[in-house]
Amino acid sequence: MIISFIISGSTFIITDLNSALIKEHAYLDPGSGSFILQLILAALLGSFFVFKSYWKKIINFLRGKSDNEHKDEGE
Amino acid sequence: MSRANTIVQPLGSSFRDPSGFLFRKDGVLYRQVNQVHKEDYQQLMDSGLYQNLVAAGLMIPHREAPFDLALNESAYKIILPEPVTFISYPYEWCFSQLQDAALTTLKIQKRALEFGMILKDSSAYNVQFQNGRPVMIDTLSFESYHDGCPWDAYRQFCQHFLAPLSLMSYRDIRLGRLLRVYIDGLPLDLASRMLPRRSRLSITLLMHIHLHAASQSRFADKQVKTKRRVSKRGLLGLIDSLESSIRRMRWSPKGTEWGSYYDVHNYTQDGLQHKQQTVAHFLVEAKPAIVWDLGANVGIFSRLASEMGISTIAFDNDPGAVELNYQECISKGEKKLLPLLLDLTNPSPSIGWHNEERIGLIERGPADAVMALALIHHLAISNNVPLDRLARFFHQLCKWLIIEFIPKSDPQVKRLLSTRKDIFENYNQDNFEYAFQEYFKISRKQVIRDSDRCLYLMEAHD
Repeated sequence: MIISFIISGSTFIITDLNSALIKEHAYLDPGSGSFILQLILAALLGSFFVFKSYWKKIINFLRGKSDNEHKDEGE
Repeated sequence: MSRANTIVQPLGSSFRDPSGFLFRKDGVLYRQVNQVHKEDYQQLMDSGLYQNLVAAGLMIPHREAPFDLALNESAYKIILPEPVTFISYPYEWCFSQLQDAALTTLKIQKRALEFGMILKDSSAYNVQFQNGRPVMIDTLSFESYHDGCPWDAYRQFCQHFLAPLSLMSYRDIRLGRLLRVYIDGLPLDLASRMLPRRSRLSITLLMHIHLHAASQSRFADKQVKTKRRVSKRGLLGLIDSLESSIRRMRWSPKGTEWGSYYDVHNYTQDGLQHKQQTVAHFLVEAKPAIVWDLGANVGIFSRLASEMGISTIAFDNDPGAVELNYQECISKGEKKLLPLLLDLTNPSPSIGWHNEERIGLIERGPADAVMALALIHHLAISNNVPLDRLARFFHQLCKWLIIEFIPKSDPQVKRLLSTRKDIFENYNQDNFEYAFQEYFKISRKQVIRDSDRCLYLMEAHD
């Protein structure tokens, strides 16, 4: 149900066409379905990522850790 | 003389990416960087990304080699990468090895973006284990990042890493071996169908496997043109989501007690110590640079070799034993030991295009020495392999052989024979020695204290 709703919702993307995002020397086929899903997920996850980054900064600030320590832990 | 002997050609695995290829000349492995990849290669080297990744132990270092080694006029540079001790493949890795390789790939991707570059592919075969840790070996996998461009290798990452890891974690650890069948990673529709329903409760698996498979099915063979872009923030969000998903996945071997994983109970304490001392003496005598320990279990005897500074590959058929062995390597920071998953009764074959992309086990040898301890009865009795065939097999694998013969009087062999008819009339020590002397010279022979088991050091006939 959720799957079909989200995928159906993406139909507008293929009607909004005019230039291909094909790189000059790309040798992998990114796959149409993977590409469209990536567009949707990036839009959703980008905002969440920003929120999460700021949240981590706040937590680290409160714990007295530097940004670099936080970055090292993340890796 | 055949053409194959006179012309140096790219390796069988190196043909997909027009950016360059690997070739071997006079036994040395080189990589040709083609003109078409000139700008991306220079950006990798000049931006500081290469130095950053090498310093962090995330990428194999290389140096430039003489240009006259170029195989054709497309060449821009010839580079000499640091040799990898032993090439292994994702279907030979345990759960944590595949997980670490996935996390390494994402870590590299994040660092690449910081330096204005992006991974143009994310094949699990671009990662190898060197000095105990996963490293990127494909210097040509980086291209310039342009704001708004999607990650072309997103699907490949899900197929090579996320799908097999989720199946191993949620369904059955043995499903990792599907990677041997699907050389470009697991098809996402197959993974989606095989995963249990509860996997849809994981938001990351719902997105990257189930929705992904549905999207592939819906838009299969449709051309996509759009002005829409994937922002860098969105791309980082996507990578962060994949990373969280992979980090959260867990698999623990059943019966993780160390004792339950090694048959130490088949020896008295004195007997076990005697076996360890004997194997160590044999290793000192053979002086191998590389040892393959076949049937290594959790690596008790492999460590006798690796702790002497010998590069040791510890093969076992049990994913739990390999997992425990790898975790011990990580916790102790061991650099000389590489645990790998291998079914000796059906060893990794040469697979892929022209059967040359991924090399079979035997073609990756011979090793200087093979250890086959508490193994031969499993091959001869459980798998019905005649002794002469076992001797021929080991002769293909190594120069030195440290092998243990376990007679029918041993409790382990009695256990194997307890549920079946004993059709192994020839399975005795005299016949074992006779069969192996066809291919090897017996240099040393030592009965293990408090047992009927016997250890041999053998040297292969030329």
